[in-house]
Amino acid sequence: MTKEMTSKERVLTAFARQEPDRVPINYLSNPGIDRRLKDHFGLAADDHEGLRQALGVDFRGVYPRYVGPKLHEDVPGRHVDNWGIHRRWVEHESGGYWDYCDFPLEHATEEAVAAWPMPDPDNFDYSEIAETCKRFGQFAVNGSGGFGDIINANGMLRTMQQTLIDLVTDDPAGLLLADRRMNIQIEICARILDAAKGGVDFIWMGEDLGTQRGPTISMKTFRKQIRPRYQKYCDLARAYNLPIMMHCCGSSSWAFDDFLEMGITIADTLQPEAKDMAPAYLKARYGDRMAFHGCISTAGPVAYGTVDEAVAYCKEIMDIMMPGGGYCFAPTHALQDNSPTENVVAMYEVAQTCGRY
Amino acid sequence: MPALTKRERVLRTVRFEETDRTPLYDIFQNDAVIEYYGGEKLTAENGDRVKSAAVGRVLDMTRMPTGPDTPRIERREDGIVFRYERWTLWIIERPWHDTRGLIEWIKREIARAEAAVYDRAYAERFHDSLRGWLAAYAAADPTGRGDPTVMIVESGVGLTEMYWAVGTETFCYLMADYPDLVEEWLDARNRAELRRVAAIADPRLFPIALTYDDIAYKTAPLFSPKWLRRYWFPRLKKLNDAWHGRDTYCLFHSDGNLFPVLDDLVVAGIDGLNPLEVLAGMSVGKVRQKYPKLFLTGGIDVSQLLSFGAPDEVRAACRQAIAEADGRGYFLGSTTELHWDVKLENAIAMFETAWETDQASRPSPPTG
Repeated sequence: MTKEMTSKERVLTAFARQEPDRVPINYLSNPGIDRRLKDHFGLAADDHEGLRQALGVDFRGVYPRYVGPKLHEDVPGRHVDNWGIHRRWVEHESGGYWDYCDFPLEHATEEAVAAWPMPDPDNFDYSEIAETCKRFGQFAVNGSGGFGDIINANGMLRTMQQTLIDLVTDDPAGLLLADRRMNIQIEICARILDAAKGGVDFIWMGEDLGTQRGPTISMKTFRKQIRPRYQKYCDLARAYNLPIMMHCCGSSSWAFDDFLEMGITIADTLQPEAKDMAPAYLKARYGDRMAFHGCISTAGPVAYGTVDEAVAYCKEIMDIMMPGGGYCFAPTHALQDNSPTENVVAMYEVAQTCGRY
Repeated sequence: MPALTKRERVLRTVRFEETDRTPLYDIFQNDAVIEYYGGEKLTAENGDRVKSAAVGRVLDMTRMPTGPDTPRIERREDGIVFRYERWTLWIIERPWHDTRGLIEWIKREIARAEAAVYDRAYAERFHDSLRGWLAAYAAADPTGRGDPTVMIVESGVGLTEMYWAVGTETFCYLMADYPDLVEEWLDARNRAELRRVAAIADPRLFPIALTYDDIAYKTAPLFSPKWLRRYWFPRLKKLNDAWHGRDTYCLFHSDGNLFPVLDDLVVAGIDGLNPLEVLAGMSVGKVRQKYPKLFLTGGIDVSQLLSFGAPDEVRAACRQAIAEADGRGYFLGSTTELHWDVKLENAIAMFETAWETDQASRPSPPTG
């Protein structure tokens, strides 16, 4: 039996495609299931750390506190963040989502995008980063300055429709928006890494590149518009010798070879229902070159099955993904509000009990 | 069987009667195809003429007759600004900046639809234009009989232009927040189209109308069947009834997987279905098996097969589609249009598969 590892050792061993003591565990969720889990464990609504400990989560993250001026006016009925993204609460059968709306830059000119207020990397307090890393010292710490997330995040301000048009037509306003956001996030990340003094263990970025059926954009567009912008981010992480994890919902394995060339060696979220994302396919095709994070479907037995079905499903995924190491147990993207609490509790219990090497 | 005219071939196909060969229905938006069959280099200036020559030589039935656009930016009467490229256009500016502005714009659009006049003068202009295209097709007829390609006329229920104008995401919010306004707008557009039908219908000039709205994407309808049944299907039925009342067949067009609402489409009175997006599961065989009385058009995948495949693969797909239709009630063609990515050799392979049973109507490549 492998000796007991710290969370940090466990995650970094898996990232290096070696077998740790048990499969590393991560947790991402929507507000409804998050609240129900805290109720289940008798935790306060804001006890995020308590929930992570209860679930055996091996990952943590650091991010600096924003201390600058308010950048965008409040709008009644909306939540407006510092990027100027408008959200409104849209309820569904089992909870709700803060959905993007109003799209204030939909038809903005290049000049308007250039003038759009965005957070200044100077206006963050990096002084607590090292201490937070130290406090999380036994865990694997994510030091990302932001996901990047060109397509989604531009879509939040310009609509997805316009964003896809931007990428195809080289619209200077859309591309400037992507560049401005990406450059700010890279700069914030650089300052986090500098402030962390070695306390950060990996960088997590993300770009949703697929629908359930195939790529959202062509390889040509990916290589022209997306890849060069991420390469700067990847180069920063590599300068600090940090592994890079890429969040990619939908059918995204079509881009994995390019990811590897860019220096990205860990793929997240791995929606097993999407085209060319079946666990066995990914393990066979990329398992000798990439590590994986995710793969527990949030649209399968964990959401719609019984407890026994959810447990059996999680075991099946672990049986495929764990051998030889290189796998971190986590939901695809985030647990949704329609997942029964007992299924999610069982999901994390089975990872801890059956995830041993 | 003696060679039929294009119109005879089209109408016999619509009626599931025997034909001399499988008819071809398509839209040409591909320079290589147009230049090959039109015999000239294609420009924005000669586009209508050269495209008409190519259509007249090749196709039994078509729509969207114009040649390539001159690239430009143009503000439409409704205030929306478009960028035009040779074969496509997209919105670059909308004339509102917030929800209040959008609602005011929609109210003006409703008023514009209510005020639209389709009188005798409109009908004469429309018919004259149509006769011009038919004459150009007739002049290019490879048999020398002056046999024109059949033109079908587009007739929308009204929804596509609404979500296109507003933008997909904003339209979703509009449907949720202002359902009565959306219905009022759809109804005004639908009633305007019914007036247009009454003015222009003439089965001697065009025996088939393309009733349409793009209501589906690859996996499912874009709108919930419940929403469609409440707001949209009754208006599609009115439109189909209006055309049927004027002896015109209704070929319904929507991209995507229509199976979840195909029963409703049939009840709404469609006679045929286009474009049978095979990658959305709408194969000729599957649709024919379930809905044997619908005449079918399209079914040859343009997004992958015609653009990136090989001629042998295209021929095989065409033969399979014709076989699945059992040789009746089926127009061979792409899943909507031959766009600029289609390889010339693949388009030729598709046409030749239709012509292979009828050497007489096969056009030789133009010289010069």
